[in-house]
Amino acid sequence: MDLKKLAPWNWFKDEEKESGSQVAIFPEKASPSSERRSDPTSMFHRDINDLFNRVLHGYGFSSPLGSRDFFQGGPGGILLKPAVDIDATDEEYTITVEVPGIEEKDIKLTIKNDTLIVSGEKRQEKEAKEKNYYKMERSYGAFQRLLSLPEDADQDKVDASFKNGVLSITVPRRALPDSDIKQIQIK
Amino acid sequence: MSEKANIATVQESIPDKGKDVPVTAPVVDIYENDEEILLHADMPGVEKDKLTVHIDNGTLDITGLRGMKRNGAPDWEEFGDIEYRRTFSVPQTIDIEKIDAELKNGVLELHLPKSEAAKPRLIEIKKAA
Repeated sequence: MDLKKLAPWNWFKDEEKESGSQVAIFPEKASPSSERRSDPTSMFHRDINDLFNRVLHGYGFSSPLGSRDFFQGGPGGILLKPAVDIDATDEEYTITVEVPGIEEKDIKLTIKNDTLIVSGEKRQEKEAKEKNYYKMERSYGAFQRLLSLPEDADQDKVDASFKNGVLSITVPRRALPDSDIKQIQIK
Repeated sequence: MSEKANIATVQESIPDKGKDVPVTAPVVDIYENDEEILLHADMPGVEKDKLTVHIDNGTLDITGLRGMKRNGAPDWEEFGDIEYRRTFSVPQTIDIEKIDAELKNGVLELHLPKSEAAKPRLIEIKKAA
């Protein structure tokens, strides 16, 4: 039996390739989200992983779910990594990316070799720069996520919208030619 | 008495309270100059009507609720429904009447102007007669 066929699509294989490691946000890649949430072992793993990330990137505070790790990057030219959600229906995939404080024009969406690239730069407001600061918790700089598109993604009909700091990308699914099915005539 | 009334309004403004939505503190930048204190809080996905900014007696409360519209089966989830909530102490010298809040690209921008009395002044030294 081909186990690979049973596993869910890995949207992050390009990202893993590029960074030479797994995506840092959640250690357990391919498990369905329900399992991920309820399994205490993986929760523990995630906590440890979170902790490491925070220490490494110098974040002293965080909360258990998502947003605080919103940008995983940090100083030293590391790309920031906004959080993404991926949903699937029979008709389409919906990818949402959390990008607060970024202008629409500063986001770039490209598809190259079956990989959807969400990139751009978060800039600090000019007005703010001229002031003294008390707290600087938000991160600025270049960000990027790579998403490997599944085979049935219709790359010509990708649509994107941007609202309240959340980018939504819809990728329609198309029927794949049934190359595996062969009709055999009964004589 | 007035305190009680305030608590009631805050609760009214947070719908779906019964649901188990995780609460998190939004990340903020806080700047200050002679004129004002400026606060930026990242609250991606929060609609304007789900956001409350409340200031009372030197305490500033920010609450925002994000309900993500999920479309079909989740394949991967790094962020979801969330309640942003954070409380700050602000100096009494803030001119509450002139506070200005704006929600833009998922970022709350809050201008807290200082009252005239609190702004730095150069005091003229008079010559002794």
